[in-house]
Amino acid sequence: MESSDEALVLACRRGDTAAWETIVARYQRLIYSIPRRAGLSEDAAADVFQQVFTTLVEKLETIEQPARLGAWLVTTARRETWRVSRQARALASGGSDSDPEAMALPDSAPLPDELLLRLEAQHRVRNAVMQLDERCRTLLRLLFYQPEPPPYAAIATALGTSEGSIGPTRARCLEKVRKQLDSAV
Amino acid sequence: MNLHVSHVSFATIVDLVEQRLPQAARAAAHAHIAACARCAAEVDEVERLVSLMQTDDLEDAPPALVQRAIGLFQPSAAPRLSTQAAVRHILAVLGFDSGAMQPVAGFRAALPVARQLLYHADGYDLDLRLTPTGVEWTIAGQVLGVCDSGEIELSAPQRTVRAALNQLCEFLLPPVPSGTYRLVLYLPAAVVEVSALMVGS
Repeated sequence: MESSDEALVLACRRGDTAAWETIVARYQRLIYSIPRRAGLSEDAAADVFQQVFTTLVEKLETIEQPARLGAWLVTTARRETWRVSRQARALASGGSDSDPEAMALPDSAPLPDELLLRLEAQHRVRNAVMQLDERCRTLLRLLFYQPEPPPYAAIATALGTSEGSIGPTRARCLEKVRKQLDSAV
Repeated sequence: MNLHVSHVSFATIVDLVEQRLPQAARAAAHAHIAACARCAAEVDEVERLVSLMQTDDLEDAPPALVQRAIGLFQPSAAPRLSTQAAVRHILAVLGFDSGAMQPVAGFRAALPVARQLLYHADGYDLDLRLTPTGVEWTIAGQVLGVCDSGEIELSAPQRTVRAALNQLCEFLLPPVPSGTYRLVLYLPAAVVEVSALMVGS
C-alpha cells in the first residue's frame, strides 16, 4: 500500500524531496491529460502542467486538507486549462491576452464535469493497478490497456502459465484492484 | 425467506462481462442477476471497472516536463524542525513487548502472531500493534500524551512508508515485509525515534 497523499504533503512540508517526487509521479499523467483532453496543444498543456506544480509548491504549507490533494490538483489544472485556453483563443481572434472582452469569449471547448470525473476515475484505477504484484499488473495491462488485447494463448506465453488459468487469474487480479480502490477511499 | 441464496461468483461475473461464459451458464447468470440487486450491482461495478481500463487514454507527460516539475521543489537548506528551538529529539525506550512473554509450556506458535509494543519518550507514550497481514506486517498505533497532529515514518534502506496522525493521534502504516526498521514520529514539539524496530520474525 502506498503512502497517502496526506502523508506525502506532510513529508514535503518537512523538506522531503522523495515525497515531492512521489506526488509528481503519482499525478503527472492526470495533470497532463486534463489540458490535452480539453484540446490544448502539447506546448499549452506543458504550460498548464508546469503552472499547476508551481502553484502546488507555493501552496504546500497552506493546503487545508492534504488528504484531498487530488481534488485540489484537478481543480487547479482545470482552472489553468481554462486560463490558457482563453488566452489562446483571445490571441487567435486578434485580441490580446490582456483584453477583457477578448478574454471573455465563450468557452468553445469546455471541460465537462463528466469528462473530469472520468479522468479522475481512470487515474485512480490506474494507480490501483500499479500497486498490484507484477503478474497482475502485466495481465491487466495485456487484457484491458491494449487497443487490441492479444489472444489468451499469447498472454499465457507472456506470463509463463497455462491458457486455462488466465480467466481465474484475471478475476483474482480484478478483485485485488477493487480492494485497492476500496482501501484508498 | 430463502436463507440459502447462492449468488453469482465474482469470477463468473467477470466472465459474463467479458462475454466468455458458455450460453447455458450465461442464461443462468442473467436469470439470477435479474432478480438479485446485489449481483446486479456487482455486474455494474465490474463493467465500469473494465470500461475505465479499456478507455484509459491518459497521456504521460513528457519526461523532461516531469523532471522540471520535480526540480521545482527546493526545500530550505536547514530542515524546518531544526530551526525551531522548542523541538526535542528523543530516543524512545521500550517499556512493554507482548512478544517477550513466555509461551505456555509445550506450545510453540507455528504462525506469526500479533504483537504489542509500548515505548516511552519523555512525556510521550507510543503504543504500537504489529499484525501479520499475509506475508507482510501492518503497524498501527497511537501516540499517548500531548498530541494534536503529526506524522509517523517507518524506514529501511529500500523502503519508506508514512502515515499522518488522525485527530485521536492514531495511525495506520501501509503493510511492510519483515525486517528491522527505523520508526520516527514527527510532532510539533518533538521528534521521537525508535531506532531498531524489529517487525516479524
